Amino acid sequence: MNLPSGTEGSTESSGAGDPSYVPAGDLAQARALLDAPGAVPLGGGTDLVPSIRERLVRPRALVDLARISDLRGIAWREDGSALIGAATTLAAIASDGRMRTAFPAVVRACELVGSPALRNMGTLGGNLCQRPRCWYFRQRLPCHKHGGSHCYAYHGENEHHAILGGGPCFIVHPSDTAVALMALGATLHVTGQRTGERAIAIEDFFVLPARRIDSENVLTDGEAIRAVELPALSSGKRQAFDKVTQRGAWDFAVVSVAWARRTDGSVRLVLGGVAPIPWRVTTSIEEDVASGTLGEDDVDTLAERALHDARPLAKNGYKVDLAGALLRRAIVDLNSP
Amino acid sequence: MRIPVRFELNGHAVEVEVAPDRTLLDLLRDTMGETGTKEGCREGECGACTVVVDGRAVNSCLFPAPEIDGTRVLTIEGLSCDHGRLSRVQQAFLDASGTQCGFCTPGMVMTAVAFLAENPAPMDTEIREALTGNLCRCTGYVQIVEAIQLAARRSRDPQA
Repeated sequence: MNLPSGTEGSTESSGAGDPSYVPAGDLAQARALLDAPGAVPLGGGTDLVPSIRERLVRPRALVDLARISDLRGIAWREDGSALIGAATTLAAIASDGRMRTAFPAVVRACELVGSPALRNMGTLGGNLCQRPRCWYFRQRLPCHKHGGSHCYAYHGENEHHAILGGGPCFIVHPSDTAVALMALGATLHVTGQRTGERAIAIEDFFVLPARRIDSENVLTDGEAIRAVELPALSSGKRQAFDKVTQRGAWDFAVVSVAWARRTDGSVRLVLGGVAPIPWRVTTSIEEDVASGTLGEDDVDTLAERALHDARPLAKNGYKVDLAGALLRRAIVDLNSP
Repeated sequence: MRIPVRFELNGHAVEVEVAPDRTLLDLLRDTMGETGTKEGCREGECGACTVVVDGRAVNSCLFPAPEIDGTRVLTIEGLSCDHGRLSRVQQAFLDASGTQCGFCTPGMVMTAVAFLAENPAPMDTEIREALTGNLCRCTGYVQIVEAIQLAARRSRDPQA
């Protein structure tokens, strides 16, 4: 977490001095600590540490949530739903035997994040709250997210940017787990000193830049994810996550897809890497996919309909083709017995 | 602000103070003087800084130093303790020419140590998967995979 040379060791990290560090012993203490101005939750540090180095975040206090036992591990209810603590590492989720049987799409998404070492450190809550990878944003150009009035990607190097839901900012959300969790209809349990406990459907957690520019989700100051709930309705074999990357490993998704046919027969279909939020396709398409046997033409038509609103930028038109291919494959798989 | 931390480094109890904005890599290299662990990208991409914390490989360049409290840390310095004799994995890297310029080697070796403890008889594909977070710009990885296979074979048959 060293600052760039020149400022190292000085009191210049946030204008308010170097951040303090406090390990929270329990949830009540965590809520109180996070309520202080400039306090941010710390999990494995894999996104926060470089974000502080790049001065995307200038925290006054790091509140370590990783030691709170209530936030670690997976609890199972009698009905088969699961409650994953926000500080559970991606490696722990991926290696959990019951998770592998009940929610394989989430396990696959966890397995495809970064590298083994990053998965040993990175937590589920942190993966959902990681900041975008847009190179202009990371370089701290004065873009919309940094309080400016310009999107450098819009007329610039935009091969990795959004084809859906963009404007005024064209980031794509980098989380793989978010895409899988949305396909399973997860609920996020959020906690805060002033806001209390909130249960938020994952579709309502992520927000488009047109609605909120300074953050990718609805969390307010002092709030943190406590747990992620996976409904029993979404458990079983009829689900998958897949992602296409430039490299064969350790890469963010160029485009990803997650789908689930739930035990009530309903279908959920979500794309990643195409929009500033995990992009759930229109309900009518999910209903048509769920409704029955589809011919080859139907598969093509449904995939085209799902991408009807896609507006690629100058250099990312390939994402429309890629997303179409992943959607067609997902729809075929959803309709195989 | 200084945070007191107590942990076990290569089998020895350590008690030091760390600044909140330092990483495990800073602590190892600057405070403890253990410079076998290398700093490459400082972004979690290259794996040169890999060490083993509580049995698991981590990127020490991203690991917040205060979080090391109460853990057991194994670094490259902790492997060859027996009068300079190389550990099994280190010897295999030497014998299979798994090292060239050497900068990635400590991270490669530590990743291999954690991996082989969990999977003592791996397939090549599993070794390659385990190494996805460790970059080497010299070897092309073939000899590194062979070195890890050699270490695995020798753990079953020391004459291999």
